[in-house]
Amino acid sequence: MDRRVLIQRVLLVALAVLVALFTYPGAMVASFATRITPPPTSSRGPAGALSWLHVEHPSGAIPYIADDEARMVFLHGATPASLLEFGPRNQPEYPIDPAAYENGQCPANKAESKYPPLCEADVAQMARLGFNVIRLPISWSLLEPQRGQFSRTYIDRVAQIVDWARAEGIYVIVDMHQNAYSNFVGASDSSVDLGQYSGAPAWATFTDGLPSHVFVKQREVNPAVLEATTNFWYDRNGIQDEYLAALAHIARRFRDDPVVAGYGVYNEPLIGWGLPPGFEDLLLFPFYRRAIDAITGAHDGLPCWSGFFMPAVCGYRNLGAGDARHLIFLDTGLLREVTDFPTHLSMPLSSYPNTVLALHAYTHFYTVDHLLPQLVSSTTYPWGGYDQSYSLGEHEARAMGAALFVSEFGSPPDDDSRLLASQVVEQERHRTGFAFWTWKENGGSGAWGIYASPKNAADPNGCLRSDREQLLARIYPRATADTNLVFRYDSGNGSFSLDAVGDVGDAATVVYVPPEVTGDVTVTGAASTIVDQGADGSRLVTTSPTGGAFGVQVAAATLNLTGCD
Amino acid sequence: MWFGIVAPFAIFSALRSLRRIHASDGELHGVASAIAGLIAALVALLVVVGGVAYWIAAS
Repeated sequence: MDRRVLIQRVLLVALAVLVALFTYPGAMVASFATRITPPPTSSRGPAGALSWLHVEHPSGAIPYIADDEARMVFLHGATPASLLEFGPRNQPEYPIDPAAYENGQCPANKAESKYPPLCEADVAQMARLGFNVIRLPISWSLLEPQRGQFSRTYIDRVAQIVDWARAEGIYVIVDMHQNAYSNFVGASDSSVDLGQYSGAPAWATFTDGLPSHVFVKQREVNPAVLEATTNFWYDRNGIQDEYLAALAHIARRFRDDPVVAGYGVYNEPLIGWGLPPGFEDLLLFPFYRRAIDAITGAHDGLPCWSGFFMPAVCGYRNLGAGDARHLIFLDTGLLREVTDFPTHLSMPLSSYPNTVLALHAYTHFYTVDHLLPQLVSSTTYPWGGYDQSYSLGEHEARAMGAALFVSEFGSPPDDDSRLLASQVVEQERHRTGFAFWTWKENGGSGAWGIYASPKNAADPNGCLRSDREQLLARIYPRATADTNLVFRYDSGNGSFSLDAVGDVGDAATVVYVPPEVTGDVTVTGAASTIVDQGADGSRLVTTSPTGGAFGVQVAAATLNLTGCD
Repeated sequence: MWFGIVAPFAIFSALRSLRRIHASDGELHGVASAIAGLIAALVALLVVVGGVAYWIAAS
């Protein structure tokens, strides 16, 4: 063979291998290699006020969040958003120095801020509703206001809230949040309300001069946002590396604390200028894998360079956080959220076992039938109704090897009987926990908080909305050894039934009964039971199986609602 | 995935091109390009078929 032809063919083959490595074949190899890669080692964490959570992987079933006794754990909670920084002021809404909140102090609410301040009393109020998790959104812009310099004060503030949660027996998910990428994308005209934007610091926001103008009334449909987001996914100027360093910084602080359930890596990832499924397969989920590598020391993906675009096959170096114990919550892409439909076929993600696929369930509100009613009718979409997102989410989670959790859902208060009531029913059917969006919100009667917007601007909240108290302060199993249990709470009359099976020696099933519920508790079948009464009137039903089927029932009775209409 | 979906057409096109090149008695060139296209299409098809198969089996 002619030498020149030989060289040409060798170069062609090399080019083909390179292209394959940088695209889908490389992405798939990196994904499936995680199945044979040993997981990162972790010692058993120091004991704390709460059990360490992890993800169990039962054979042939969906993974689930579990406690030290391998019981399935249900997390119910809310999302207070006042630690976020929004535009156009581009400064914290409230003091971030923990000293401003010590000894029960609470800064005055600001009407111009979207959210009231988060204070110690809030955490007690959450516990009173039976919540056992807080999803705590934080802003990258406040954590790392200058490149490479992390705010000690801000992370101390997060730690302060974790301590409040510890005192109430509540877990915290520290969530790296963003809305439309950043509050520093600018506003070319009045179509942009920067008060809705949060996330990346100014130094990590590259809009390349594109106009910041909102189309179709959606803050994300903005050329500057799409450009800045795309620059993040392609690691322009190493900003993705900085983000991973920020995550590792948080993990380093909380690695020995079981009260921190885990970390939300990136809220509602926006696709930028990309298209599904390439965005998910080649950018988003490889980014998640790198985040897990950085935090846990897992060695997934190939060792690559950093500082500019890393293809899907690239893993990431261990950033020394040494945190191989916490849950890692991974949001689906934003397009998945607005369609209630997977935008890619999930593949194995990481050798690290404690991953959780975080759904945002906004059926009929942030889904296409509501956003584009002229194109898609709510009567026909989602095809599977409210169940669609959950059923498909289970498939996605199982293919990834992750547990499933609803890290956001919510609705305007006027839609509670339709949207909120339907979502909580699906969560029960699919045995997922939830974090409601949002805890408290300013802004009049349409604000989404569990508490009404305050009438007096300086007050931290208005009254507890009784409709929401009725729907969200629920009877639910906090932990159970029977992962196939079935339970149902009727928020209309306070009745509850749970059917489970257990062997002698199985860990107890613990059912929480909120103070709103007044009906009598009965336990049937093969189990012994202890009912503990809490100081707030709540009850904790601890049922230890003695071999066979057992049930927990709560009789219908008038609900003792404390909220206002 | 889109590449995988259109892969059968690419395979068809690459095979057709190879046949025409071979039948042209040296008048048409581009065997290497056609083979590269064929391999890329086969890989894309494999990726999609493999991905779907995994999804069905694993989920």
